[in-house]
Amino acid sequence: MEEAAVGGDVRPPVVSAVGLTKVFRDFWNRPKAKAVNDIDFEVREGEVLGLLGPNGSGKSTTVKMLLGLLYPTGGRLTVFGKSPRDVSIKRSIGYLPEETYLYKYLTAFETLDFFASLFNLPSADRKKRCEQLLDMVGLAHARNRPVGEFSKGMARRIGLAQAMINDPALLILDEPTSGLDPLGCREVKDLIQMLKKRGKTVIVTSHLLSDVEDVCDRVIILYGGKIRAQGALTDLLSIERKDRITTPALPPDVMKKVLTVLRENLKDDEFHVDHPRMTLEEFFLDVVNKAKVEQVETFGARSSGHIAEYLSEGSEGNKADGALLDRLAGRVPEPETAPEPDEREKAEAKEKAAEQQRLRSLSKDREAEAAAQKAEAELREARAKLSDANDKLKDLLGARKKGGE
Amino acid sequence: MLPFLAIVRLTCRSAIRSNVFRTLLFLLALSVILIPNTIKGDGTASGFIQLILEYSLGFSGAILAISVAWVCCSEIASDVESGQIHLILVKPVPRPVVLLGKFTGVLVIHTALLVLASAVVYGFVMYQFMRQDFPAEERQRVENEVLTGRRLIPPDKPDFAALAEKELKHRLETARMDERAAIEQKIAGNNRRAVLDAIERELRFRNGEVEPGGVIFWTYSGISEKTPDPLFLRYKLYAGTDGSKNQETTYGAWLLRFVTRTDRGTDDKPDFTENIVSLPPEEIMTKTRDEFGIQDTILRMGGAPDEIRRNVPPQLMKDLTDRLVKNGTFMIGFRNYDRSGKKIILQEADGPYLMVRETGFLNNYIRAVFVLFLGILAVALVSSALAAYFTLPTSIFLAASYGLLCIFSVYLLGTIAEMDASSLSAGDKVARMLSEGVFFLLIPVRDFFLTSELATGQLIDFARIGRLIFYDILLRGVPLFLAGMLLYSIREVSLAMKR
Repeated sequence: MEEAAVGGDVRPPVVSAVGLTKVFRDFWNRPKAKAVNDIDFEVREGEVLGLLGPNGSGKSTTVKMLLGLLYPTGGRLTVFGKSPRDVSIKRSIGYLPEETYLYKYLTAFETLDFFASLFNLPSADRKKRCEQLLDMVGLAHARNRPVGEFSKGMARRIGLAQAMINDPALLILDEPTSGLDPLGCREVKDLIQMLKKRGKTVIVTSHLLSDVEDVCDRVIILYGGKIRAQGALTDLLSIERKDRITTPALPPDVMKKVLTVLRENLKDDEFHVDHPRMTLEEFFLDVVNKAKVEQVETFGARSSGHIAEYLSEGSEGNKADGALLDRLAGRVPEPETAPEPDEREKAEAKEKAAEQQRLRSLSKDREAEAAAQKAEAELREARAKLSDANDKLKDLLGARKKGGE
Repeated sequence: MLPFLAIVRLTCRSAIRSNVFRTLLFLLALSVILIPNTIKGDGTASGFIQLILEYSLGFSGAILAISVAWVCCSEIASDVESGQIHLILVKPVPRPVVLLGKFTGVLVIHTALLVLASAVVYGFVMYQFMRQDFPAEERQRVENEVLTGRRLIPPDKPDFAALAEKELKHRLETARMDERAAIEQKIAGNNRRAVLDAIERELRFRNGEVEPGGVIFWTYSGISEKTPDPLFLRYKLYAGTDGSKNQETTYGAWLLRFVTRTDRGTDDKPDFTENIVSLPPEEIMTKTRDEFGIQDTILRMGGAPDEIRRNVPPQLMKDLTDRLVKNGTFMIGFRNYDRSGKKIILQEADGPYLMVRETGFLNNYIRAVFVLFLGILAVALVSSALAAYFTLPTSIFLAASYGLLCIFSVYLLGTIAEMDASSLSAGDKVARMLSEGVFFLLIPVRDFFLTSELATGQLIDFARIGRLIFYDILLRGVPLFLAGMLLYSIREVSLAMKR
């Protein structure tokens, strides 16, 4: 999938920018700021692109040009092969702005219904989609509350829901996780993964790098209106000069041996040994999920974890449609044994296999047996982790299936 | 269509939530409910009903016009500034549809309010008229002069241009040698037109002057003899040439032309004898508009009983009309009996007008309300055009300035028109053209407030409504709106966003 999205140039670019420039001018038409300065990039179908950069680097300006809200000063910009100002392409675009501008007096349901009307959706369809989206973003219980009363996170969720109302082929999310709690962030990321699986194109701008790292195939890093780096995340982030080994807690004698080997080969300050840590996000989600199981009451957003039915049509929930979608999108169908673990997990598993190899070579023959045993345990654990991840995903999809029934 | 309707609905909901709109709504309720219940009028039934009509409906129209300007500006401009428009413009809805939807939403809600307010005012007028204990004569007067729709017929005018030519010729012929040279010098070159215009103005003015003891006649054409209706004469006169505003009294008598069909004529070509009969001289208030019923006056003078006068039998009305109208023409005169020997002047603008009932009050009322609607439409068109491009404060400022200029444009244009073109320097001429150009863009809002016409039972005829639609809506309002729509379609909306 990765290869198809990044390397395979067979798919037409959804977005193509050549020499894109945006100069803001003052009242007397004198150039004031060059927000975007001669940038070239392409976004291919089915790709999740991260647009990164500090504040004022030109991310939002680029996004607004993609949407036809600002006009380029120079260069050429096409979206679905047409000018961003073409009204027809907007049928396939979903947009979540940086700040969620909603009509405060409309209720959550009315808000979604209004935006659905702009797509000329028939009444029954609108109602169905709105209900499913509200359920998906965890605001079903607040459907009749005016959005003016919503917390920032809740408003953000409604904003996300309205961006999905037309089941867009290109979703543009400007700081999608800002204002969301870690749970919400996770859900947004899951949603992006889901959309990616369905062959949708997603452009995410953010300065929360962990968000981008989790979901994006490729990133563009902007600074001062220019592209400073771009490429596939795996290529950009792996440090070829270093290795990492993760094992279960080692008995002191084994650790001693390992250290001996390391000291024989490396200088003291070239390596270090410590306990790996969970990320805070993982820890937090763990705590909240436990609380959820214990059914603690909350008044905030409560996502059902159901992806809206019309959005999940054509993904695993419906294999025939999925295959059709794949054929249409020109993709190689994925193995159907289990939901594909995501790239990170795949990489982890590979890494672990490699670790085992290295351990063996490091701990010489006399320790080979013990090390092999450990490595085996290691492998078992890796497998367990993998199947755990699979279970999680299955859960997600299972829930979706339930929603579908 | 669905996106358009969704935007219309959203705009209506948003407008109702605006604080300014709510304040104006409160004022509207006051003008509809409070004014009719507190005003006293001049004590007469017709005065009372006229005041209700003029104030309640006039105020309602004015409040709605202000409100529509405000709400148009805020609905269109504030959405752009707050960024809410971003979420709409990235949807597959063309920008002109967005603007049109917002415009329509504002217009719909104001039209609904106008209909509601005018229905309440109408109901109240009728209720008061039915309920109050007016004397029978008063009641008759209200029915004849207020609750009706009468066409205004101006007197036939002499061909002033031809008369001016004749006068100039006459002056040249009768002038002494030296005077003639002066006149000839004056009319040399392009100035002949200006001299003729001056003479024409003089003639027009003199045309309405009645010397003490003198008499003046007016003829009115195009009066139907088939359906004899009561005829009314509306007039306003001035005594002397003093410019004071004080009213005073003078004396005069109206002269009626009575015609009798003779046996000499045929049905196709009737033959008449005419004679002029003077009504008794009466005391007349100057500088105030007044009117009287012609047939009714004859009956009164002739001592007809009140019951007959209140409800004139059709045959009697026909007989009277037959004696007054000849070949579709009616003639009336006025003799000056001023006690202090002053001239009496009847200005061309004041007629005097002959008024003939053409339609009922409800019909005329609906027309007046429709014209108010046109006024609100014009304001909405202009304000939307301004808000489509400018920020909220700027567009409201411009809309207010435009409104003020429109109100005063009548006076300013009058001043420009009165300037003697021949005496202007080149710079003045350029300035004059420029100001005329600017004024062409202005819609004279006063033209849409026809409540005083309505209150005096004057027909709001379709020709007038047609002129308003053509000159003010189609020729000015719509092009301005389209220009706004174009700017709205090409502007970079994100630039206008407030941070």
